[in-house]
Amino acid sequence: MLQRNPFLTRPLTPGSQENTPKEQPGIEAAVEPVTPDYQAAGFYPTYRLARAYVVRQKYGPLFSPAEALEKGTIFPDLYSPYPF
Amino acid sequence: MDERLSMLKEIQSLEFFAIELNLFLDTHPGDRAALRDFYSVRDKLLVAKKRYEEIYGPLMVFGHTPVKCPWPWIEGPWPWEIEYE
Repeated sequence: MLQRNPFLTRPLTPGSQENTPKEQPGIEAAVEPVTPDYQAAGFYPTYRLARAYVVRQKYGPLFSPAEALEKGTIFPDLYSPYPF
Repeated sequence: MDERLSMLKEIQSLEFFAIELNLFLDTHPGDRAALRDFYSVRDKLLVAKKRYEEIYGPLMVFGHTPVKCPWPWIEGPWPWEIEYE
């Protein structure tokens, strides 16, 4: 039985109602939709190969001004010095 | 010079903080917590700059330095003459 990904809901082509491949005898391969509708899904789906992502930053705790100037960012989330 | 240096460092860190929030707000213009922090830091920065310029002279040539003779802009120390440690 073909497992549909419930978060990949956009039709493949305008006018097509379904992403589900037509039932064909002997063919079980799933067809992935080309453009998953991330916003309709309400969250970020599993990352796919060969796609670039920018995750939306959330506002959270900040460094103090003096510490931020030292570290080069006010956001602890963005602080990632090279390990050398 | 110690007081002057610590005021300069405070201005630099406040200005960096304000620029970071500036960049964050460019992409999150409705974020209330970030807006609150930006305006708070901006007010502190303006006060700190005004106080520095009234005591030590101009940070910016079109700043808040009181009217003064002779022309104070060319007085030292220049930024590269300050020992930051």
